[in-house]
Amino acid sequence: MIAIALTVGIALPLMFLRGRTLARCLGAEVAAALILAIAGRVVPPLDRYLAAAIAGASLVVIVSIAVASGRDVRWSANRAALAALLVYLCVIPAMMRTPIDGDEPYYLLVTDSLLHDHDLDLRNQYRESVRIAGRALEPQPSDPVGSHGEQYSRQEPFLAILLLPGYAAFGLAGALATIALFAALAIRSIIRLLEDEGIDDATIRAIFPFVAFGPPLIFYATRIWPEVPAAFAFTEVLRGFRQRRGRRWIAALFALVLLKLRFVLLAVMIALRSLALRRRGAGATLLIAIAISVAILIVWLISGSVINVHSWEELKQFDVRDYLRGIFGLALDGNSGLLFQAPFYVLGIFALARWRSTAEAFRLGWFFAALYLFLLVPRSEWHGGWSPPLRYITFFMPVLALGAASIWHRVAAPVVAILGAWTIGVAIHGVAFPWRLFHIANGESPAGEWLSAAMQADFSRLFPSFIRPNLAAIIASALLLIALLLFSRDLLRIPSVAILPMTAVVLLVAFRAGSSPAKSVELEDAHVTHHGGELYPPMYTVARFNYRGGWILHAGQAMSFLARGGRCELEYMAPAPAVIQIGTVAYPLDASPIRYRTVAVDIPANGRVELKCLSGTINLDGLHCNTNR
Amino acid sequence: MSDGGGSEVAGRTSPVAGERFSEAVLWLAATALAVYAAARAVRFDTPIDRALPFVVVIIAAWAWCVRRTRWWPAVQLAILIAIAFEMMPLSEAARFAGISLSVAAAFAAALLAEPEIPFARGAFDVASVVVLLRWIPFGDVQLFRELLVLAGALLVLAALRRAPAGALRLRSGQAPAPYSVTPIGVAAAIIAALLPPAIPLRTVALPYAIAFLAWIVRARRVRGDLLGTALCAAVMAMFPWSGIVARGLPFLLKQDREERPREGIHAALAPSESFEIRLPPSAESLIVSGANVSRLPRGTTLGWIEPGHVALKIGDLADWGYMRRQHFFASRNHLPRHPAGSLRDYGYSAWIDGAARVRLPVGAGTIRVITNPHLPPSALLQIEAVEMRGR
Repeated sequence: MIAIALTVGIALPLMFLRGRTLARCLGAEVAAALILAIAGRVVPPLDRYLAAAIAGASLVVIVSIAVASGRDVRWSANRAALAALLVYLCVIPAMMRTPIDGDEPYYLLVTDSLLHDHDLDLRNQYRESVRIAGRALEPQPSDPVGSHGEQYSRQEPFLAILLLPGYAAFGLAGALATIALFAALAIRSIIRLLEDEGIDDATIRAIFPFVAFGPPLIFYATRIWPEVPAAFAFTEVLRGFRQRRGRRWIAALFALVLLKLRFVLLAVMIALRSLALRRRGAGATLLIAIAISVAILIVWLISGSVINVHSWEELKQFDVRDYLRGIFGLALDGNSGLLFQAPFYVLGIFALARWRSTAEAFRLGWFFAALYLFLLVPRSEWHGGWSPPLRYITFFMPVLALGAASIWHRVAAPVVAILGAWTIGVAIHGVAFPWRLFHIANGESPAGEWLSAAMQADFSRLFPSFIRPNLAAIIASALLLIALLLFSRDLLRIPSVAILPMTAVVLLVAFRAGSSPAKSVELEDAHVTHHGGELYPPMYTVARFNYRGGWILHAGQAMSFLARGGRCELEYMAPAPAVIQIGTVAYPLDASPIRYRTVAVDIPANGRVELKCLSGTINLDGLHCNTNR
Repeated sequence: MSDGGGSEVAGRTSPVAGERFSEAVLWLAATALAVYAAARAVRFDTPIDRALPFVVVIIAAWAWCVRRTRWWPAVQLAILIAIAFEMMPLSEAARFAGISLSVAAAFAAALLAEPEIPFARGAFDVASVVVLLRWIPFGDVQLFRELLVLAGALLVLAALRRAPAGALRLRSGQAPAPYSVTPIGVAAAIIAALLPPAIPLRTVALPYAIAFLAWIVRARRVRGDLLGTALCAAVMAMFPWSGIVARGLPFLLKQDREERPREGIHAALAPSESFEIRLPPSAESLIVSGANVSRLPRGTTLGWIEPGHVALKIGDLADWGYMRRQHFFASRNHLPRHPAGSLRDYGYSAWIDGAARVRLPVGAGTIRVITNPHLPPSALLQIEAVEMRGR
């Protein structure tokens, strides 16, 4: 930990600063370290990863401020990339605290198979998965199976091929370092993109730490997902396209499509744009078609289907509600949206309201991603599933960063301060507790769950959820639309000095609201105290977010929660007749093994309520109080 | 937000003055909003929590002082963070640490925001920090003595003020630039004000003596902005326990933080008494302290542990309450070599009890603690607990 602190604390300033600014930065770091150490004497011992993350973040913040505001700054895209790489390499040990998760181990199995067996058959890798990935693994449902029983992975093999050298040299750490290298390349590319688009140096230096050291890049840069290499490739596509350097962008596009078949949707739009070009448009389009064909051919050879494990049915989703849910969810969801997980990029959304004054590459980026986003947002898995937040739009962050840079001079300094504070908090949290980057997408969020569990009140309802839509989601969506409208008309004018105090009042009001009994109680949530029983459906059910969650109680088990007094409706399922008790009243429940039913119950008064299962088994979904006494 | 920049014409209010007025009103309104939020956010009944609105006022004032620089949002952000920490479900120490670190960062940002700090602003900074450090809990404030200390601190600042650059070359009729102070001057004034317990009254002479010394040695020539800022921030980072910074700083630098299980004994032995303790198998240390021994010199033996004839001396342990503000000056005790005391009280009244950890003889199943018969009759050796190995 000391080595990491020294690395970050000394190397970063030396990389960027010189003269008086360097001396002041190093002095500030030493002072901050000493102050934190002394403060640590009176605070109960922290988790050492959390302590390291706080210390590391403090140092990075000091350097970032010095880089953004100092005079003697040596700034270039290469230095920025090198600094980012250094930080990512320091974060990797924290990420290895728990076994890799989600799709990560499967990529690693493919890498191991390519390295040792020179094939894609993973049967022996699954047998040795504990050695390779740190935990026992089984093939995922619907993974392709060969004619002779070969067990393939649904994951495209290109990322595994990229990981080969690193994995061969240093195992898992080497594979993670390879991703970190791609992330550093992505940072370099993003900064060059901003420079190409005419963003001034001061703005680039100011937004650099948000992009490089903030979520989602810092998380995907230190885990095995194709998102960061995709961000690099997409940025190169944009840069190459803008500079009319065909070889560059076609090669980058080819890599992009090989990384994940879903990026074919980008290729289609790029081909359309390319066709519209007067010169050499047809040739480029032909090359794109070849690239797409090769990618599809590889997928077909492995999985026997040109769309891998997907189905054409997935394209037939035209319910407006699904679109609204996905669009606003990606922007505002407490667990999976930009506002809470990577707030800096919300500025990229606001840049949409200033479409005409944004950089050309920003508009081009949105055009290229239009089909992809159009087909992503109505999907039930718009939030990314079992992955760190913002998985499916991480590749798009360079475009949002460019948008943010375009309107940076319009953003009030207190807003930047709030964005910075929240970004630091999210980054520290994710680095210190990497397993919390994965969430079962049940409608809560890590922050909401923490507050709910600690305060024994439903704080999760304050965070907009588009996975299990709530009132906060509707309010947040309306506010976003209003804010966008006002911003587009240049009417979003709040005195700068009042922004932070107003935010404090909003926090206060939210805290008061969260502490009070809720109108609706989801009975599986973190604020409910469960005395026995089990979660429904089980935690790691595939696509669990498609189910109505609940909590199963058997006879003799109970739960307690904060609720509003009055007449309420309890939603439940029961395989056989059951009896529950709320307060002093017993309620016999009819059997309802397949569908959820509701029963009217009386909640005695505002406050903590105990619900007991006296006989039978019940799956309790929610309690909705409409009538107050 | 306008930066103003013009000057007032005597006898009438210029548009620039009008802008300044509206700016001031806006700042006042924003501060009122923040204070309201802070007052309503208070969830706990400790002096630090109750002082949160006052802390917010001071942060807002610092932000106002640097409103012409780009750093004011960084200063003002501390208001939001402090209020957020107040509401978060954290342990008391973590909550205070969050609040105090944000306050420290805000003050550091305010100090570094301008290369030259006008004397008046420096005086305000010192006064506000001295009030934060010494006047919480408000109930313990002895106003006359505190005002004397504050005046002494300002005198230190005055002794360290710097003449305006090029003051002698001013043309006639031009208003002279104000005296300025440096962060190191502010830090010196704050530390000079922090140290004297003001009980007895004569201790308030310390800042005056420091001011005199600074004036004699012409210390105003010393310039170390970053060092001064760091010192200020370090002191501010501990404002919920400022009494410990003032009277028990070594505790913060050497405390053994590992919490181990203890088995309480709670025995107090008068001179020549003895007490037998049957030790649990995992016993490692004895937690002991003294009572009515604060005037005994270092090295005085209070008793022994048998077998092994382990001497229990002042220095290895201390009077339980020697660090209390009202006893500290008269006490001849210091922080024990292996302190095992707990943080008690808040703000400038915070102190650590004088309990100490004394390692037990290896392999002893039973020990006997014998008190020195030559101690003053009122002296007591307190055996608080047996501490176990590990968790």
